Amino acid sequence: MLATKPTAPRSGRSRRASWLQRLYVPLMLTPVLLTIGVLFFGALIVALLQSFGHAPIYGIEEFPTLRHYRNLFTLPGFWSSVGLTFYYALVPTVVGTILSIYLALMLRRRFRGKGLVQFVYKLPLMIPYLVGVALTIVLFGNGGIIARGMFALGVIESTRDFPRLIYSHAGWGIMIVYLWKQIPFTTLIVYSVLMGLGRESEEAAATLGAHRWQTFWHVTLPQIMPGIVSATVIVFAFNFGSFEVPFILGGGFPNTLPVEAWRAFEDADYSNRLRAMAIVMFIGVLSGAVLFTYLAAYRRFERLRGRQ
Amino acid sequence: MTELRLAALVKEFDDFTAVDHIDLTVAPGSLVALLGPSGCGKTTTLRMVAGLEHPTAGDVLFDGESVVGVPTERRNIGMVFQRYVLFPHMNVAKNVSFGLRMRRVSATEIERKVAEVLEVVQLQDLARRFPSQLSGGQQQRVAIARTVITDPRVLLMDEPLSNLDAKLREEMRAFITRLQRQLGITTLFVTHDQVEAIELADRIGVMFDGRLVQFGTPEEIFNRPRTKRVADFMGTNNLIPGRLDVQRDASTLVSVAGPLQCASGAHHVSGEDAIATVRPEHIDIGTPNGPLQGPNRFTGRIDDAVYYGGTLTYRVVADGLSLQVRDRSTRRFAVGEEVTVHIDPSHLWVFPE
Ligand SMILES: Nc1ncnc2c1ncn2[C@@H]1O[C@H](COP(=O)(O)OP(=O)(O)O)[C@@H](O)[C@H]1O
Ligand SMILES: [Mg+2]
Repeated sequence: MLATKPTAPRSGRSRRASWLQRLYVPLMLTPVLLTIGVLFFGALIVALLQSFGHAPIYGIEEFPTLRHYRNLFTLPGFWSSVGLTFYYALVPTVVGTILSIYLALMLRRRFRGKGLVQFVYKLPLMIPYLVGVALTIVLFGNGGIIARGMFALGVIESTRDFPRLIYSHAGWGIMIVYLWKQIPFTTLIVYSVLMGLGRESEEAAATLGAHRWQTFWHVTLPQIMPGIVSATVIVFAFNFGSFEVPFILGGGFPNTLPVEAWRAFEDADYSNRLRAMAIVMFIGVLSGAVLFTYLAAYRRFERLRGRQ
Repeated sequence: MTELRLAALVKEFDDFTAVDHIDLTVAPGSLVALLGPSGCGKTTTLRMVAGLEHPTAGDVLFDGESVVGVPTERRNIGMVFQRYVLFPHMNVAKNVSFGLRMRRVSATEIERKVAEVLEVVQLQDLARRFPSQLSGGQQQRVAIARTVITDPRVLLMDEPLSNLDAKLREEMRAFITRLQRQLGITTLFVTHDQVEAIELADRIGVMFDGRLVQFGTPEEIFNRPRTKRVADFMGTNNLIPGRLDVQRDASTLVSVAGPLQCASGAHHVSGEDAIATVRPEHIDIGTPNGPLQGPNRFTGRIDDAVYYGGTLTYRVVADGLSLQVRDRSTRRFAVGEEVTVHIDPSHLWVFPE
C-alpha cells in the first residue's frame, strides 16, 4: 500500500515518459532500418519491376509482362544452369557438414598441438574467398603445384594428364573453395554447440550401455541438430547465390544462375538486363523456397519427436 | 549380486591428487555411502568405478575381476548423476527404455519392462512427458528408473538428493532405501550429508582430501569416530580434550574437569593428547544429592534447555566443561539449577587428538 502512494500523482508525467520510451527503440533503429529499407527493399522493388518489363531508364516500358520469365525457361542451357547451381551448392553443404561434425567431435579430445590446430583451422574464415580461388588455381590447376609435383615424380607423363579439377562443369575446384571456407565455419558452430552441451549426457548414455556410435546417433546428434541446421542454411544460401567462385573456376557456358545473370546484365544489348533481373528474382525465389521447405521439414521433424 | 572392491585406487589430475589410495569393499547387495565434504574426491571415485575416469593407479574389481580395462558401456553399471542428466529430446518412456534399446532388446520386452519400472517409480501417467515438463523429484525418479531397468551389477549414485527440497529429499531417501533393498543392487552412494548417509547406508566410508579416513557401520562412525575431523563432520557433540593416563586395566583421561575413567582400549597410549566423546543421551543427569553413583561424576549448573521432539536437551556447565545432555525422563530442571551429571565409562569413546 505504501509503495503505490507516491506514484499516483506522477501518473501524468510517467505516461509521457512511457510514450517516449516506447518510441525510443524504433527511433534509435531508424538509421539502420532506413539503410536496409532503401538499399535492400528499394533495389529489390526496382529489380522486380524491371523483370516485369518496367525499365524506363533503358527506354523499355512493357509492364506488366511475363515475357522475360517465359523466355528464361526456353533459353538454351537455362535448366543446366539451374542444375549446376543446385549441384555446386548442395554437394559442398552436405559433404562439408559431415566433415565439420567429425572435425568438431575430434577437437573436443585432448591431443598434442590442439591449441595450434584450433588456431589454424579458423584461418580460412579470415581470408577472402578470392584468395581461396587463387590458392585453388595455384594448387589444383593443370600447371599447378600438385600437377607439377606428380609430373616430377613420374606419376603422370605430362601436366596435361592431370585431371581437370578447375574450369570444368564437374566443379571440383569450386567445391574445394567452398569446403575450404565453410568447413571451418560449420566446425566452429558445431564445436560451440558441443561445448555448450558438455559431456554429461554422452557419459550418461555410456553408463546405460550405449556404444560410441549409438551415443553419437541417439544422444549427441539430436542435441546439436539446431546448430547444424542453422549452419547448413547459411552455407547453402551462400553457395546458391555465390558469383565469383563459379565465375572464375567454372566450366564456361552454361554456368550457375548468378553467373548467367551477370552475363545477361553485362550484355551490350541493354534489353537483356531485364532478363538478368528475371534470373535474379528466380534465384531469390528458388533459394527461399528450398530453405523454407528445409526449415519447415526440420520443425515438423522436431515436433514429431515431441519437442516444442 | 556383485561385490565391488576398490583397491589402492589413485587418481591424479596433473600434480593434484584427487583420490589417494582408497581401499573399500561394497558387499554384494549392500549400500555403502561415501561421505565427505565437497571436493574430497567422491565424484572422482565414482567416475572411476563407472569407467568415465581412468585410475592413475590401483584397481576396481567386480566380483574379484578387474574392470579397469573395460569401457563404461560394457561394465553393466548404473549411474545416477547429481544433475540427473536426462536426455532432453526424449520423453520419459524413451529415457527409461534407452538402456534396453541400446542393447537391442525386443520391442515387446521393452514395453513390458518400461511399464513395470514406471510403476515402481510411480510415473506411469507421465510416460509421454519430456524432462523439461517434470519437477525435480520426478526427474530424479526417471533417472533412477532408467538405470535400474538394465539390471546393473553396481549402482552408483552421486549426491542424488542434493538438488531436492527438504520434504522431497526425505521421501526420496525412503524411496531409494526401499528400492535398493527390493532390488538388492550393490550400491555406492555419494553424499556430503551425514544424516543421509546414516539413514541410507549399511556402511559408511568417510573421505577427506582424497583419503578414506574411516570405514564402518553408521553406528560406529557416529559413536566411535576415529579422528576429531570425523567427529566434527558427523556433528558429534561433547568433545572432551585431555591427556591419557593408561594403567594396566584402566585408562584415564585427565581433562580440565578432572580425571575421566574410560573403558580401556588397546590403542590408548599413555601421555598422549586425546579426545573423549559421549552422546548426549548417554549422560545421566540428576539432582546434586541424588542416587547417581560411581566414577565420572561432575557437579554443574543448567545453562540452557531446549525442548525438541519429546526430549529436553540441556547444556550443562560443569567444572569448565560444557556438555550437552539429553534427558528422556519427565522431570524438569530449570535454567540455573544445580545438577549432577554422570558418564558411564563404557559410553566414553576416546581417540587420539
Ligand atoms: N577433470 C579434472 N581436472 C582437474 N581436477 C579435477 C578434475 N575433476 C575433479 N578435480 C578436482 O578433484 C577434486 C575432487 O573432485 P570431486 O571428485 O568432484 O569432489 P567431490 O565430488 O567430493 O566434491 C577437486 O578438488 C576437483 O577440483
Ligand atoms: Mg561431487
